[in-house]
Amino acid sequence: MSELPPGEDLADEGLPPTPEERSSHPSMHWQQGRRTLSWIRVLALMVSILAVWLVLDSSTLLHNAEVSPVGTRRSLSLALLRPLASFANVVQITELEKGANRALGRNADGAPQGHVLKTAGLTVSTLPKHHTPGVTTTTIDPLKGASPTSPARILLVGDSLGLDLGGSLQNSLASTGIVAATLDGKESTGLTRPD
Amino acid sequence: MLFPTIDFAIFFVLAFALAWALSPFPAPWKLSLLGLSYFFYGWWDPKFVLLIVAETALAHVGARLMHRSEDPKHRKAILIGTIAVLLGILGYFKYAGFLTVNIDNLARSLGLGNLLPLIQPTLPVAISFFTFMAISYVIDIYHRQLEPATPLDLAVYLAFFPHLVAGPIVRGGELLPQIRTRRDARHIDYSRAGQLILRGMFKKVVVSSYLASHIVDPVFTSPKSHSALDALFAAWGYAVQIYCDFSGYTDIAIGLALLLGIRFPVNFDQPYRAVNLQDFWRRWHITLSRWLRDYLYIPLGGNRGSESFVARNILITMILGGLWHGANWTFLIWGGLHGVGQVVGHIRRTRRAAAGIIEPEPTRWRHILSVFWTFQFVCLAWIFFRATSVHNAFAVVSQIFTGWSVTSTLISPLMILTIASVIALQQLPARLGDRLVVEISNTRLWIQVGVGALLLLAITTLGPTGVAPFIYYRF
Repeated sequence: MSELPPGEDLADEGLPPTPEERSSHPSMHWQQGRRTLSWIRVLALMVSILAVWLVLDSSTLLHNAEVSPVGTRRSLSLALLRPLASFANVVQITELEKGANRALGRNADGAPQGHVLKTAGLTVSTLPKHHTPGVTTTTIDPLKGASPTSPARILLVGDSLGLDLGGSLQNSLASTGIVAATLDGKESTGLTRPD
Repeated sequence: MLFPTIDFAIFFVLAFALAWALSPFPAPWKLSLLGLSYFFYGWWDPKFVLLIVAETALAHVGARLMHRSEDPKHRKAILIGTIAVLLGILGYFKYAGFLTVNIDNLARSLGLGNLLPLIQPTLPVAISFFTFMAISYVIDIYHRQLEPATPLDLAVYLAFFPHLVAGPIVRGGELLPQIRTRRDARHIDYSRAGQLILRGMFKKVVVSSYLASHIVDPVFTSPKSHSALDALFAAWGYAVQIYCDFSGYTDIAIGLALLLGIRFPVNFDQPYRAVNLQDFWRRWHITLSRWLRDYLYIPLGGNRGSESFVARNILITMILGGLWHGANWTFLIWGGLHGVGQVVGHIRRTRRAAAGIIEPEPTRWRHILSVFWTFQFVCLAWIFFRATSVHNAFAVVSQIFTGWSVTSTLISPLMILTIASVIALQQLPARLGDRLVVEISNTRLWIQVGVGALLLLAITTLGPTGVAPFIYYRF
């Protein structure tokens, strides 16, 4: 170790305001070019930002509240967020967020559309991102004739809990040398909604 | 209560209003900050508050007794006693389980059976941080670098909620004067605070979470299921993840404190542009490394002595620094790796200096190679830091070397871009973007509301569902 420099305070290296800027806003104050405000104005700013964000993100927040544990907190959240989400839908504010979620490959409420972890050496099973009712699955005997060059293929499916358990199971199966496991889970399914 | 959550946002808005409304009245202001901090800490478990109160009382009594005594031996005895109790509390909660398990494992291997009962106390959040702050306070009192604070001031210093959970480890000399001084309620540097908070949230909620879920966690959970390239990117990805997670938290903490009129020291200074390990530790977790330097390395003797003596001091400091992070052999190995690396660097520097060899001005390529190899070494050490066990760490390391016949399945262009961008940004000037903050702060307030809300929406949209705890809050 060496003689480290002592911890430094925040270094302000912003640009100072010009004389014209100062004269045009005599009530304003600056810190290294950045405007400073009184605490009441900062409080109003913070509350406004949070309020606008709450409206913009209301549909996702509503989904999160719906899957949260039953209790006062959930009830209050739903009471607040349902009207906000309805308002946001009416004025189509939430299109911004929905568009972003679609671009990121998520459902409209922000939940991922599927989480596929491919394993090496395996021909990836072509699972649709939205499982269609009535799709049949083929039952195979996974270990018959399995070898390192032709490993048995096993599909691990589940929700977020399945993802947690499936990772360890995938590792254990891989260590056999004759099994290749694919993990396909879906987080935030909403299946555990308490209501 | 984690920082980037709605619960905390509501809490902070109320805390901000209360603190500033009471700021003209010093005692009520301090009491409000203390009450808010204890409430914040008690959100995890109300019993934890008793612990921090106890450590505050202990530090206060120790400091007062030392200050009143003129006898050097008496003062030293009080210092040692106070530190021993503080470390004893930390040791019990953090290391008792680790020690008993390992002693019993050794005893069983020798055929002696289980010698000790299993002890697994619940680890209080942030105990390492406020214990270290309490120790630094009493040591500074001993050296007469500080006057003892009032109980209220000391309690606020140790419990102040922006730094409570995961630092920065602020010195008494940095925070106590600010607690005693009245802040200016008319001129809050809100835009700088907003920049820090939003930047921190982006690093934590978006970047860190993305890398954790898409590469780091899958590879470390089952190393053998993934290719060498996946394992390599998991190591690089974790380096970026932990940087974004921890520095993101620190940015938020500094920003929140700034909104309350308190200035914290910088804790990260672009660590992945370090040219060697010594430089890395000047840039990573700066407040911890200066704590280790001032309160451990220098008292051990520092770099005043023979090569082996200095090497011993470096190794002890880095290994204990590793163990501070957690009770696991992996943290010990992580600290040991950094210790060995720094010893090698120190010996090389001192021998070259003794031989009269003048270090040439580094060329551009020499500089790039130094940064590159330092980063690779740091990433190798991070594997042990992240791994759940020594076996897990070696599984990841071995997969990097042996898994080249396996097809990579996790790496995506976005992931490469994310990792490369974070590392590349660290090679650029630190205050890039400040001009933009100046411009935005000088626009109309309704525009700033819109910009702030949209940035917040972008962060929450790009981030995953739910918020994972900060990595360092476990320490």
